[in-house]
Amino acid sequence: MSITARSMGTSQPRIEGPQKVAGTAPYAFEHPVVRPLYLHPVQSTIARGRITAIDASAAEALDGVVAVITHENAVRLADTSDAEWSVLQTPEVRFRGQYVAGVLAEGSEIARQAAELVAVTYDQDTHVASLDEHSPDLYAPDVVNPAFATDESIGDPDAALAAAEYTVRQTYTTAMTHNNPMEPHTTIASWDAEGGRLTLFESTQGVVTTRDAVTSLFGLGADAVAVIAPHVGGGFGSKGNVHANTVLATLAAMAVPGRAVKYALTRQQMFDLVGYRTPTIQHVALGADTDGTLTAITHDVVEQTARFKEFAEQTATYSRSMYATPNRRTTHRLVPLDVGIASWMRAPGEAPGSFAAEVAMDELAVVTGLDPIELRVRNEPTVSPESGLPFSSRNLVACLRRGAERFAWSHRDPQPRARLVDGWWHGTGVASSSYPVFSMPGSTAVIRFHRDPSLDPALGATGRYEVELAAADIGTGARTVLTQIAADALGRRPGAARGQPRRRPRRGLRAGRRRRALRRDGRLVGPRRGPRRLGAAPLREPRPRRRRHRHPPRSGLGAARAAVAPGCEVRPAPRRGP
Amino acid sequence: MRPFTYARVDDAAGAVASVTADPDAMFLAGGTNLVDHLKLGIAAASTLVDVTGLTSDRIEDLPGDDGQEGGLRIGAAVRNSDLAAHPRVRAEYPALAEALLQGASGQLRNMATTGGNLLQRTRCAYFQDRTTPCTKRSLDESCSALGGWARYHAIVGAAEDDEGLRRCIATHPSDMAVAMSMLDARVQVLGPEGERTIPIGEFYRLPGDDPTRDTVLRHGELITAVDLPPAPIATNSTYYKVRDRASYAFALVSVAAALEVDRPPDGPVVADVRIALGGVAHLPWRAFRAEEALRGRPATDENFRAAAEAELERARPVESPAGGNAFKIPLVAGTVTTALRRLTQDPSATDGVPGESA
Repeated sequence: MSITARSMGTSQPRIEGPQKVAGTAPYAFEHPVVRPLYLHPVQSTIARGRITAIDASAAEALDGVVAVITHENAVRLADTSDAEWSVLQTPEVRFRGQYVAGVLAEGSEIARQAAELVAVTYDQDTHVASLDEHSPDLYAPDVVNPAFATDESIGDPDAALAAAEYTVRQTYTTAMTHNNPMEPHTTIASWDAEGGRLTLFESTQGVVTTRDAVTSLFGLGADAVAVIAPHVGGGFGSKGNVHANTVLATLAAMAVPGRAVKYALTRQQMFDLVGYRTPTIQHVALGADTDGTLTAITHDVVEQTARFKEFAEQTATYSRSMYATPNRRTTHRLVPLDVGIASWMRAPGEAPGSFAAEVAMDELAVVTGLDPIELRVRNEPTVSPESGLPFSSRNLVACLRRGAERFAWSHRDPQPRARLVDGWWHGTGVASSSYPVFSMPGSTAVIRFHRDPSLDPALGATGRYEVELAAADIGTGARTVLTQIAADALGRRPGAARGQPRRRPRRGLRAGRRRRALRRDGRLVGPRRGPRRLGAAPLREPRPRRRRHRHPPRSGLGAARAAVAPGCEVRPAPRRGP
Repeated sequence: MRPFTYARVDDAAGAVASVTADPDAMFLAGGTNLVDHLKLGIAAASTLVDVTGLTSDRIEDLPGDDGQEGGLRIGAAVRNSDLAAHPRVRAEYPALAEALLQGASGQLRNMATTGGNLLQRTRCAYFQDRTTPCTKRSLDESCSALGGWARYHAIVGAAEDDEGLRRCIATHPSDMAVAMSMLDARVQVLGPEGERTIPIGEFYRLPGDDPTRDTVLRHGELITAVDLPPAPIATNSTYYKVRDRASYAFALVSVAAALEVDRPPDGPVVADVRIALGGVAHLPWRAFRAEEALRGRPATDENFRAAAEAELERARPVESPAGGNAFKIPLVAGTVTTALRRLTQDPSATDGVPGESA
């Protein structure tokens, strides 16, 4: 099916913009629930060892404390194969900041106070927590994130480097960086013990992955878990995977059936529990012949992983497809440490890897005396150096040329550290960047057509379409863009219904709403309606949604003319990685 | 975090009486530091007495001597953002305006008060984390930064390991206080025994035998205002802050400096100079030795650098596998040199104005 772009690519107001500006768009923590309990964790103060005793008596004695959960009394998980998710299952401590208990109380301040009163005694082992590339524990992972080869090599790069006219050999290091979106990771969890149903209002970039993980961790049926995330306040990749916080909140909810449990990580906890980008040590060597043609690239990376759960940032993969060379080697080695998990953060692999690779290219430009743009142009591959397949899109040379023109590149002083301005050296340089397009086949949407008898058919409108899909809008406007895609797929124009119906449709196309999670096979699961019917926790009645929009929602109205049968499917745009 | 009582009283004297009566009571103003400390369990007040509205939030001209222009009286409740924007501060004390604007964020500056800024506490990572020992939190504990992560820590003024002294290498975090130290500010205080004035040079204390105390304030004493004496030299002043991030970070090293230059034909000469350093000590560090070394000397980079190095002759940086702070000695020298070089440039010259680094 080909879609004609009418709305796509045009500038549209954010669908949820007015709600966000008015502060009424509900983020995970803000969903109204009755008499919630608040969760505050106790975190380990050692990096490695085991808990020998937990004394929660002082915490439990505090007014308003309802329960203290520990590894001694928490619900047993059905699947403990993932050590990050095996929260409160054993006395083992694997990193400083690990959850070792959780306090449930009638108020967040009480929970926090009580958490300070939980006394944990440890048997401490020696730990290693800083990255050392000479560590004896250095190892090669089976693959690097998500499933790339750990090492690859073509030709004989060492021989080519030895024979090269020009060489650059450098080590680049990058620091550990933490994902810290404005909205921390938050959950409202409620467990209906009788019905065996779990409801999670969750700040997540992936409702389906969250549902699937929780389902298997707790041994629940696929229909037993609803994950709801209409708005997400940023994630930078850290909300793409389930982390221990979601498990802790669910364990807590199961300890108090029928009551909603609220948990928002503190900013301090964000640094411990939800992933970060590993620091990297990158050895890069480039060889070139007299005219600057690359004869060899080597990119050997050392980085860290949590000892208990491997994450191998694909740092060197950038060098596999960026520039043409007959001899190439890229490798990844990990040092396992007694630290929290490394995980996805904002272009894992490309962000640190392209930094090293591109700085090395600029250094080669200096060594060869070539313009760094010209150097890159001379090494532009005709096909992907890794796969041998043509690029779906690239345009790097045209991009560099255009950039050079706009920056008046030809007038620059090509010397590094060309001038000193108030104590700071200034100079010019070039960096390319590249990011792969990932498509995730199997995503589906459900579209319904709702006839509205109050509309005037003479004006061409007889109802509205409703689109449901399990996508996430982390604040980047996905809801609006997906609506545009859906509108074009349905062959209607957004805004066509402006000012028409007296009784406006409550909503237009609803992209990105996930009241009902979609399984990968496209079957809808979870409750049929909104929060009122979710789970057993008593939920306050949602506010009436009759409020008039001064300007009607532009999307979703007047779609009745489109000759598309209700229930037809459109495929969402290819989804990129985190 | 412990439960506490929140109290409002009618006037400053009432607030002083309330806090004096209870050894665990504290004053609450903007709350940008104290509220964090309550959450983190660093502060445990029984009662918070809100002083909002009880001290002046105005900046007033002080009468001068013999028809000269006087200085400024800054009410303790004046917000950092208002102080930075005040026309006389911008014109006559630019180092103070620059220091304020390089601290915190717009939102925090809108909340934080002048009095509270003076009393903010160190951002030492160990001090702020109750799971690590800290002698500033408890005299029963030792300093974790010694041998730990000491990048932001003191290189001068920390107590030796002598009998009775406890080593604390925390640094005072306030940018504003560094500028005020350079300006010889005077802190007006109301206490149970009445009013007193404390020169800022005597307001802060070195860790000595009690690192838990940052200032000489006694329990129940409330800052009501800060006076800036007239200081013609300060019209040519600046604040230069060096930090790991360009924004929203505390100083590794900062310099507040004011310079008066004579311009004989053979090159500019330092007529008078004032220098205060941030990020190097338990308190804003007034660099008297450097000032003395520079007066009457040619205003050259070499002399600026030598003066800064003289100031740090007794510096005692910390070596640590997790990140020491010996780098601060050359960093101070470079930062002082750059700040004074900027101030030496002839304002009447049209070229050679230094560009700001982003």
